[in-house]
Amino acid sequence: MTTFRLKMAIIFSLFLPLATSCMKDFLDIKRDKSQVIPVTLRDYFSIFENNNMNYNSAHLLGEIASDDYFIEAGQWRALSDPVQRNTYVWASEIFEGESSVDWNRAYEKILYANFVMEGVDSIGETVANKTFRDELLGAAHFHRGANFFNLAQLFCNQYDHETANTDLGLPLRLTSNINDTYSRSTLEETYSQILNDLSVAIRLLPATVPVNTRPSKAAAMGMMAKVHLQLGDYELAYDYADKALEIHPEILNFNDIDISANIPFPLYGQGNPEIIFYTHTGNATAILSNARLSVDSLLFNSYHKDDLRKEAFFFPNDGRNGFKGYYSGSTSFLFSGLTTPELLLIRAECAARLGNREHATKDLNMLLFNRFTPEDFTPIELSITSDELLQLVLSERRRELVYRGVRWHDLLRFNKEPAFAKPLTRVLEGTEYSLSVGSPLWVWPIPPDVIALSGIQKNQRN
Amino acid sequence: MKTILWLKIALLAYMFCPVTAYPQPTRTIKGVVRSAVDKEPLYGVSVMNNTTGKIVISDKGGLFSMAGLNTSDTLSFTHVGYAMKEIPVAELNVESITVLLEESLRKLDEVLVNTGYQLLPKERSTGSFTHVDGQVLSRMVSANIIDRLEGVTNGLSFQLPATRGAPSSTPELRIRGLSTINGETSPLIIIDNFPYEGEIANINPNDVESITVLKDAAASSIWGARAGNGVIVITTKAGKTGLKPVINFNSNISIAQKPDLYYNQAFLPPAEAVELERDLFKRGLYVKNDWTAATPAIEILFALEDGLLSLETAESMLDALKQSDVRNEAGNYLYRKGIHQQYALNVSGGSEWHQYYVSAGFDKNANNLKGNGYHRITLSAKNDFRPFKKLHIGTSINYTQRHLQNNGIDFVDLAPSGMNDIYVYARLADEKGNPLPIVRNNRFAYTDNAAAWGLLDWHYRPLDELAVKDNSRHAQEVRLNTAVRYDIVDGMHVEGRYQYQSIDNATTNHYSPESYFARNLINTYTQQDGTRPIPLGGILDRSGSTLSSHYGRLQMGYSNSWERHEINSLVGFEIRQERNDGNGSLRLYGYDNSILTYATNINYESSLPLRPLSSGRIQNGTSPGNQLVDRFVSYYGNIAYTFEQRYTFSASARWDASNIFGVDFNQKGVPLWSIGAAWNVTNESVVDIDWINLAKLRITYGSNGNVVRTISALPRISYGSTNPVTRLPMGTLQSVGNPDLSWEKVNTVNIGADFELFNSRIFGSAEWYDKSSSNLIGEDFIDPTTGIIWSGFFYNLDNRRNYADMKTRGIDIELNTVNLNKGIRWETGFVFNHVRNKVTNYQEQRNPVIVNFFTNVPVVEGTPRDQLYALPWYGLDGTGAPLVMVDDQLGTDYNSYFNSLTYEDLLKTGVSTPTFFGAFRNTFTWHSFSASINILWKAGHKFRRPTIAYSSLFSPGRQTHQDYLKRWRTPGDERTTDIPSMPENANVARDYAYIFSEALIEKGDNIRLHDVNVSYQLPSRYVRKTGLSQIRFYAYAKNLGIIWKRTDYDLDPDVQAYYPQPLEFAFGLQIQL
Repeated sequence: MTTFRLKMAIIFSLFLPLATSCMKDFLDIKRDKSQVIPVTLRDYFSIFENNNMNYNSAHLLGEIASDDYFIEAGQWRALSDPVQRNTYVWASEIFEGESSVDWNRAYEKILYANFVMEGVDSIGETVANKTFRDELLGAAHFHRGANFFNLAQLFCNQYDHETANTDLGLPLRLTSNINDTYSRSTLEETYSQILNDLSVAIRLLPATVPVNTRPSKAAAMGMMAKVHLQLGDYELAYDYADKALEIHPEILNFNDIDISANIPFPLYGQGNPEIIFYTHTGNATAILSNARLSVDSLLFNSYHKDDLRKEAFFFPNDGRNGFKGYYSGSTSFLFSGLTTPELLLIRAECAARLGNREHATKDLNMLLFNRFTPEDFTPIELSITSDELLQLVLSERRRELVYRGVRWHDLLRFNKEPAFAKPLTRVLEGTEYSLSVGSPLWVWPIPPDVIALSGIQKNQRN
Repeated sequence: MKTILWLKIALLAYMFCPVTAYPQPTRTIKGVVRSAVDKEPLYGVSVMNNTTGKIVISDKGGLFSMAGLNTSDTLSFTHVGYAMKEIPVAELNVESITVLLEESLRKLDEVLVNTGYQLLPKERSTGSFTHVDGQVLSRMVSANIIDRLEGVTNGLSFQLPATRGAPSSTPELRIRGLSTINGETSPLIIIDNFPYEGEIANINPNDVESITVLKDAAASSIWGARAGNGVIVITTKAGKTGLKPVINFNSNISIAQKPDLYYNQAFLPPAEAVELERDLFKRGLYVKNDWTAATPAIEILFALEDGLLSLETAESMLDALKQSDVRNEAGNYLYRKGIHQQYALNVSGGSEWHQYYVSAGFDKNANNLKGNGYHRITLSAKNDFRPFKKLHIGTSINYTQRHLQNNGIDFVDLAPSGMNDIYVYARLADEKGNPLPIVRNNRFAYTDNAAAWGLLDWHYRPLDELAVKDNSRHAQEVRLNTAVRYDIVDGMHVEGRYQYQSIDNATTNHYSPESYFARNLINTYTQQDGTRPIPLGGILDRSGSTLSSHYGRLQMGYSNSWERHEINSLVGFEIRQERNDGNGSLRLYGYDNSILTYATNINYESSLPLRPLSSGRIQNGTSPGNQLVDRFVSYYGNIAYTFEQRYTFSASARWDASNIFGVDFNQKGVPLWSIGAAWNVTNESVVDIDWINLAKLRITYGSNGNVVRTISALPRISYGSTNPVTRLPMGTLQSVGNPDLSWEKVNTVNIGADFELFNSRIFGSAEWYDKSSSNLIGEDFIDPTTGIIWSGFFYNLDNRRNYADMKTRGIDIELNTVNLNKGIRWETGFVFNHVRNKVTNYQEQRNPVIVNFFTNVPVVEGTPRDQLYALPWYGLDGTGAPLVMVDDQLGTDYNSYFNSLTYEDLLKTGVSTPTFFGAFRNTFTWHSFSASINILWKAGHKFRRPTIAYSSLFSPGRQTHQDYLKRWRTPGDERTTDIPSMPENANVARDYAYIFSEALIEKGDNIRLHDVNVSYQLPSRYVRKTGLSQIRFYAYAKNLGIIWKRTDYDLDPDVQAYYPQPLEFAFGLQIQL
């Protein structure tokens, strides 16, 4: 029996080495030689060069629901897309079985970001590739963080550190494997993921980039400023806006452009110096087209008559006021990217809130200098009170960042501040629809296809 | 590694050998069991004490020993293939006896089934096997071994794909129906222990010893990830121990009749066809230009219209056209009787230390399409050495060469460009047999001017083409096998096997300067100034492919029997690589075949004006080819344990990893496995019924896999587009890959019973199975949170993954009887198969197009994969228009009808593949004569009958159908016909209302006489005088036609092609030396 066992052991040992060491290499060969699989940093870079990364940003639901505009009842009834129709009146059920462009396209970008991140991670760092590799990894983190942030403004509660550990956040997909499943994180986890991604992006991205469709350090810092502003962390928001503006101070002077043109801004923001990072929303032609919308009259009337934006952004349209201030240069898409003026306004708001009147007025004047003719420009005096200054900054913010999805973000955070909270109302054929302060309807429902296919938790809508 | 651990456990189990002691009894009988025929000792004979039920098994020397016997006891001896013998102990005077067993009425060797890894006695297996022995295989005459399984293999169905034109020669094989939705459906074919990747036509059927079909999980799960569709194991002949070499010679000639070109109803009689063209012409459906091929009738009508012909001349010319029929012409000039000659010679023999089998085969085929044919040479040599007692070394080499000529002009090839079929009155030759032109690409009115313009003759004369066509394919295959086996201790061995296979395919299409192909291309590119960018001369196209595979296997087996126990087991490791190189293609212009020169200065870059219109570049027929590499690593093991020849338990497992699967999946190491049990009821002591020779119950459960190679686990990117925002080049991701991509999984439950009754006059099996396929590849509605999203028209990225499910259930029954055995022996074999499938989980297509349900049936959850849909039929109205139901009102508003149609409105009329099928074979033997008749039957399926669709008739394709002649013509016809009237204008929806309606759904049930074999073996007293040991003459006939069919229409339900496979006769001679 001993020899028997010995023989067995010898034979068995023959089987072992084949099993372990070389097997992985043996199977690690692509089946079809002609299949182009991404292998090099160039390949991954080319994925981010795709316009997918800049199109269809997740701002549509917020913009449709905001108070930038209104439409007539007849137009409203004629809307073929139930999502637009329902969103306009903040109905409790908005999707009627349709899927959400905002959700889908944001997670598509997150998939690409994860895919590139994993691919680039597997390529070792060398002296020669470090700069390029860092830029790619930084871009991946930027896209993921920025898209989680945009999604959180639509599908999660406004951040409140009292409840953030129990509030529902987003499913945080951090891998590209389509078979992996994720449930919803807490809001705290969602924001810490966003902050984490953006701080990695700040560390790795180059200060500036040749085209504004690629993320840069300035863009990452600017995003960070936006996130902190949304979180109510004014000191950090101030700091990041400050640093971003240091790198990218350029502003488009409206005196230099033909504000009477049909669309005074260049196509896809190419050549507009104040755009730090370019994105636009999904196709906004139906409800947000000039064939239907009227610019909110309070908004329109809030512009000073000499404000160049009044003509650059709006035009009289058959008795109504239409919108033409497309930074996308196209009536089909609403610009939703990051600009120098937005950062100036963040820095000004934070300065005002933190009691730094000098800086706040300086920033405001810097912006307004570029929005009025030199003859009409009157600087804001330092003598203004802090409260007045904050009000002034916020109303300037309202006027500068129209039709960009930003208004919805502001409405959300103002909801938490009694002084600025604004309920929304619309009247259609005598029926009044309203979205009251603190209503759960401010948070959009998770799209029904997502609920059905992933089983993640729904949002509380009543 | 879990697998390693598993192997270790299996190994430990090996070393556990139970030893039991027995108390000394009153009397012990020892003895040897031998065959009464050749006095050879019999191994594995079950010796039972009928009183106590105790069983012992005879060893390899036929020896047995039974203790504890009383004088009142009786010993019974049973063995497969032998009649049972009972001996009362009282009759035995001595303690050591010799028992001779007579062969049973049904002379049956113990059937050893080959799984490709081991030989198993069918007696002691739990799985479902269909074994087809050499005798049955040699009943049929064919060049292809797989063809010989049709109608004799329980559970295997053959279905010809629905092709237009010539009938396909490669049937779709399904073992126990479908078990995949989008994956491959063909079974895995094993030749000499390894998967066979070449063309089955490379195998000489005369070299095949037997075939085993592995049907359930216990039988096939040893093949793991590739066994999901069942496995066909082909075992080739090997040398046998014997003193003198045996020489076998087999030769036959088959003659296939000319096909019946009048079978297909797409052609109208010539007179009707001409009149129909006249009618269509009146409707203004013909355009007159240089580049639209116009039939002769239309040319006449054009000329009449232009005043170039008088009405009288035109009429007489049209009448002349009506006199010829292309079906007749083609039958005369393009087809012939097909002749296939087959010669096979083999020599085998050997001693205890060396056995050999050497064979040579030659096949020569002249297809019944003139100009098509091939010859095949096969050579093989197999040697088994035994240098010393414990070592076996086996080698074999197989070589096949096939040379195929592909110069025929099929009936379908005659169709002018843009038309579906040749016009029926086309003439191929005049009265003297001189070739005549038929319209090809451009109008005759245009091509007639070629000479005047200084161009080459631009006419297409099929008979001239027949003479100059020079297309061939050369295929060559080499298979080398080596096996080394070492017996370590009794019952335990280790073996290593290696196979190398290489297949080369080279296709050469040489278009000589006289060929229409070359002339047409040269003329098309000839410039106005007469220069010829494509130079005069021939054109040569070459392409090729190479397959090379390496398979290695290391395996250890253990089998032994002691006391009442038997064990049979193995563990092993396997590694494989299959590499397919498409070697690309090459085209040479200005080619001169006599001195092998060609033109080098071809300008492929410039766009040139073409004749008669448009412009284009010269096709650069050179392509780089592609390369596919499949790699597999597998571990496997199985064990079967039998107790007292009554109870058998089996278990097997296999783990596969492959570069086809995703990396994550490979790392998880999920095995495929099976378990099974069998109970041999007849070996129970309590069962003592005379007329039951064998009763065995089997039950198995387990899983197999199916590899889907059309989807990649790796990500894919494409280049070439520009970002519209930045105007910079960008990449587009097509797929993010799927690291969890795995095999599809088929779980099978099989419950079966084997029986032999009345001294084996009746024997057979009955089985029920249930296959649950899961993990099937399909397009999935993936949670958009993954980033894979539906854009409204398509998915942004590949959304196929393993998720879908389907179920397949069926019954396989095989019943064999010996009806007569006095003088004439009459045997009947009956096979009954039933199978049904249903898709149980599948994401249905979003917004499917209703018409697709009739043409390219989408997968729908809850329905069979091969569901046949139809629209309800309401008959014709008073104008001959099909009626449709809109808002509960019958009418003819077809657009509203089709716009409002939903899936729920469709009729599920049945399935397109037979749910019941089988064979009924009778064999008669009288002295040296033998005759066998095989009848096949299929039932339970439906098919859609083709008919006239006016929109296809009105379109340039001009698709006709004889139903046109039976159409509605005058009011009142709607009571006698369902075929709509000819509308004023083409209306696709109106056609659909009829052609996709239930009126055209027919039942497919049919019974056909598949083949007849008659043979005569020369009595040995005559044979001996010649110095030979056996001479046999045989005749064989195949495709004898339908005996009965359910449908009343004059159609073969299984034939969608232009004609059914023609009748074939064969005559042969077999000589043994």
